[in-house]
Amino acid sequence: MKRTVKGTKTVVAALAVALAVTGCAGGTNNAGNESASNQGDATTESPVLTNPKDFKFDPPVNVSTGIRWSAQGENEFKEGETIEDNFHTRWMRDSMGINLSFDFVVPNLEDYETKLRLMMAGNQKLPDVFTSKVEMVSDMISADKIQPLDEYIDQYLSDNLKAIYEKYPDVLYPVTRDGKIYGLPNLYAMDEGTVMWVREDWLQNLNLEAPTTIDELTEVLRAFTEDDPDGNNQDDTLGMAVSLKEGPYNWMSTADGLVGAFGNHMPSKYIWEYWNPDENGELVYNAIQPSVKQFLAQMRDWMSKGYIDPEAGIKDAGKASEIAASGQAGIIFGPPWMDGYPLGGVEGFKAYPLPSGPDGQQARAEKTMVRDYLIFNKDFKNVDAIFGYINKIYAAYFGEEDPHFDESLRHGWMEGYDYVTHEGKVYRSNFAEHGVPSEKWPKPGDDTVTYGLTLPFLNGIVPFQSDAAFQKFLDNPDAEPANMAEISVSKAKPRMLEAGLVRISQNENTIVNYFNGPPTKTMVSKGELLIKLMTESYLKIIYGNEPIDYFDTFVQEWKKNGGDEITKEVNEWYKSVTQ
Amino acid sequence: MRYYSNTYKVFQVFNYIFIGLLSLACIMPLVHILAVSLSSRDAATANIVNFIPIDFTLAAYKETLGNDNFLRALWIGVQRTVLGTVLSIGITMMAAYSLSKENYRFRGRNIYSWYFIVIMLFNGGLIPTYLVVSNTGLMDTIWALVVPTAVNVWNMILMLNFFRNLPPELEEAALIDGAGHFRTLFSIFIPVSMPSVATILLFTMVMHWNSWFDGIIYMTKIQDYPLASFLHTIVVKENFSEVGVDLAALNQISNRTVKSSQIFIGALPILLVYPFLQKYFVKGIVMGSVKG
Amino acid sequence: MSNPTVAADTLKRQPKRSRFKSYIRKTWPLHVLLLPAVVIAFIYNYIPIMGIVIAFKDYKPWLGLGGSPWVGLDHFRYLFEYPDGMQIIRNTLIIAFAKIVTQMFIPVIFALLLNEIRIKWFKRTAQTFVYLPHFLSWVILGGIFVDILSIRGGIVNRFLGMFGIDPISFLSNGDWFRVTVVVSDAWKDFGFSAIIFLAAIAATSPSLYEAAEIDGANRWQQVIHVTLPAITPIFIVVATLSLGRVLDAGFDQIFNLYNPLVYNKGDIIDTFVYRVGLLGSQYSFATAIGFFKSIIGFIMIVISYRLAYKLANYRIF
Repeated sequence: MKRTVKGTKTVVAALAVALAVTGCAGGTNNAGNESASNQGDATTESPVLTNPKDFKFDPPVNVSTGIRWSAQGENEFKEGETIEDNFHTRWMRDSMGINLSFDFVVPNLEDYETKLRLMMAGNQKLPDVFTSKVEMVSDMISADKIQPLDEYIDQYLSDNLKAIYEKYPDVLYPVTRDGKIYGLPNLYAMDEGTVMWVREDWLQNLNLEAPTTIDELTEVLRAFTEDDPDGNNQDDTLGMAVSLKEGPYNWMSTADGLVGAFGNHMPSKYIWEYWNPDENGELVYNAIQPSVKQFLAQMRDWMSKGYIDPEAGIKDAGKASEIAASGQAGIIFGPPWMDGYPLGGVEGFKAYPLPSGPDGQQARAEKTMVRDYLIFNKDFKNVDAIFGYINKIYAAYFGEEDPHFDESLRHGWMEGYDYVTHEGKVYRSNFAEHGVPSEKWPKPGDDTVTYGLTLPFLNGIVPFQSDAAFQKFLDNPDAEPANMAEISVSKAKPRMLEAGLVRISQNENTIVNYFNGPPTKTMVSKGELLIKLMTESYLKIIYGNEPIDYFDTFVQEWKKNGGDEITKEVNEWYKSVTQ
Repeated sequence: MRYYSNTYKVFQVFNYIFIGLLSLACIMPLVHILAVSLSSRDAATANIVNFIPIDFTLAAYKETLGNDNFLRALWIGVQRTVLGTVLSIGITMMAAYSLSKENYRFRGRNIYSWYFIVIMLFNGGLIPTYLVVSNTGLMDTIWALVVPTAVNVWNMILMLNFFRNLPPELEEAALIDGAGHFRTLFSIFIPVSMPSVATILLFTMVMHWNSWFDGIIYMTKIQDYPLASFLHTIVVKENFSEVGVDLAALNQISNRTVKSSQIFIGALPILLVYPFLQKYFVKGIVMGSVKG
Repeated sequence: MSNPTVAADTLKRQPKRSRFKSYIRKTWPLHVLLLPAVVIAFIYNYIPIMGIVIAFKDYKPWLGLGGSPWVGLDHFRYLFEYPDGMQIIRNTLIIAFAKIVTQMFIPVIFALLLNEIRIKWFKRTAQTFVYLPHFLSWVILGGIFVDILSIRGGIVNRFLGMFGIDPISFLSNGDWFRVTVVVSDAWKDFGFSAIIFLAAIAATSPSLYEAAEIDGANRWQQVIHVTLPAITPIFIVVATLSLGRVLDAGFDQIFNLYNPLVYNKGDIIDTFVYRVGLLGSQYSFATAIGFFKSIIGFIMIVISYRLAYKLANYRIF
């Protein structure tokens, strides 16, 4: 007996020592900050100010980052180049004197966040510059790991970018604490709004017009389901491919355009969207609004008649799109780029405007504008260099009038990678056709290949900036693009450009989320329950397992189980940012 | 030579049919994946390929085999599996041998047993484990993948039971010959337990070949990922909208054919290991070696 | 546990010092053989286990393990006070238990059947084929299962249709969902689990069969009197250890197959924890639930260990 007790004590003591050792080691691990040795002299003015177009740091500054990146295709880099050493990182080093190194490269978002959280938990040195989602930024500020940027924004940030932040002030709300701004938002192009893809050839086979209202849509769905639109004498088609597993709003195979036909309220699988103001200016949670009930009743009707995929409730967005891509379904809602994926193999699909509801109402969901935030390690001294770089990248999107415009980015990221010049002309594709000699092609011997660029920690994109370019390139595919945004659009095929124009034609009718703060206390504790309640109730109604009025029960349950509490918190937040 | 009853013969016919069908049911998915990998991109995206390739092409294999990252990951996966298996098997065998002794011959055995049972069930979770691995300096080395996983309690218990069921005369004979515990283990116990050693070997190899999470956590660069981690990154469902879509790269976005070819090639090595180990599952090896 | 007292009894006759010396002299190689495993387990398992304290804290990364505030049993309470908490636990137990039972018996039966196969190439091929599905992850299989179980022309429903059976919604009907999950899990892993029993059969001494044959036993009797007893110890071991997973219903599988239509029958503890985690990294909560599962698993193993010892007089470890 005695020995056991003693043994136990020894084990405990040993554990304590081991813990203490590892605990202490945690503090000193990776403490050496490479960039510390490269701090510019505070008294001399930063070259970014003296020469915004052609600044160069000498001696060069070392900057570390960590990124989410995964190879998407075979021709990501030229032979011998990698994400860590490629034409762009060399360009940063040679032209600006910025030595970029990568602390880690992880393939997807979930792993990226895990990695950062582990580094934070281990008290390890975080990268100098990196991106992060709202909620993590908030943790980083609390942990005192990142620095406020107000001074740098005032002093270094380009006026064009400042104007963007003034135009969309809410993008800075989530990273503002105690009046200080801690991050720069990376924004989406906002070019992914939902359109209605319809099998044009099926319409013609059946002598139908494209539907413009929900009633017309019902008739087309019926015809697509019952009247053998593909003319193969087999009952193998149905009206619409859609995913309802995670609610009606998805990144494709979505139903947001249908929800919007009944009212300006949008349910989402996240508790933090969509919230928008009612007539009193109070933010309300969209998923419990009566217009959604009408939408559910409509889906229920279509489901019972077999017009939509009977497995919509068990398929995610990608899986749901397969029956459209394989020619079994005639209608699918989704972004204009669906032309490239997944509908690339079906010629007949054409984009149409979203149908309108009983009252002529029509709207789609607008996704949250911010992708993530660029944040800076508290111990990082060369923020000015990164701001200089940011200005240059954005200037390539803003165009040549921008005072930071770098001439070398006029036609693309790098000659011989995403474009070639031949006899004074710039080409971005079909090099053989234009008589460009093979050795000049980005990949000699294969003229279909060009090399894109993954920017290390920002995307340079300005919301809605590319909209004007869609008509331009549809009219003249060989027109000269004026900036990076237009270059990107110039690569799209005609069908995608048409779809883009359809999307732009409905840009006025969008449902926008007004809440973009970090998740509130009750959201964290009850959010899962409420979302589960929502997805479950919606599907029960659509599948006819519960009557339509079950919606009212759901609303009561939602309010009772923390929904009211969250509504209160959201409105407190809203008042705090708008006043 | 032998007499079999009629019912046994009838049973045998059904047995062959049953096992044949079962085997077919088990290879279907892999045949499907193979067929997808040999089909055209559009056919794969539309998911219309079943078991026969549509628009047959070897493009996916050309791409996969020309992909340095994939080949490097494959090689690291092999290294990890070999190193991890050797380490784990050695440690597990030694521990299982000691634990297979009867209580009266090895007092304190029970304490060890429960010491290991506890870690089979309890773990501290992601953060504490990560901290220990990083503070013992294993980050970014292959050791991070093989050392923390080296003690496999399940295999240890299995092995100790196999050892325990060996004929007791074996050990007695060895001790009479003057062999110590080390020699008894390595030159008698392990050689006569080949079916069970092969089993444990296989389990350990499979575990190492399939583990992907530790690779992602303990390796900071994709170039250091073992195959399982690499494959995880390509099969995981990506929400393209969240990442932001590059219009120009759209046709490359859903590369189901290439993914399928990578999954197929990735499964091959470990599938080939099994038939190789099967020869150790042949009956009679135990007695044969004892007699010899 | 009770061991030191037993040890003390048997050694009463010798003086203390020499008792210890003789113990060491006799057993030191056994301790040395265990040493590497003990050390690695200590560093990479026991030290991290200390981290379980965060199950009783509200862990915030900026406060660290030590600085985060204590919250007692709040995280455990969250699961039990969650409106669907009991249902989730019940689902987990039902699915996990069904899986444990199928994964115990199907591999054994398969191993016995395979053992009767005399044609070598057939046996080997079958053995390799049935082991294949183990290597496909559920992310991939999930999509494949949605296809083959589809009510719009999936293989399984077309097959049932030949017998005049109406299409079954395997993935959207709660009861069928459970069946699907258990059967597909058995399908995926029986071949792999059978290896262990095949090894046990292979390790059976042929002389036992010879003796049985001389006694006039036919093939059935040989199976019952020789093969079954030979694999019983391993069977008990596998059964006991698998009871430790009574709250593990298989996250990867359920996560890739389930949907809101089957939440009431198919939502399990792990998928629940995952969804809660989506709202922010809730490490404390995840750790607490993990700890809860470990304790239940540990209790199950202790009970079955004792039972095996009492009923079969067999110590599994």
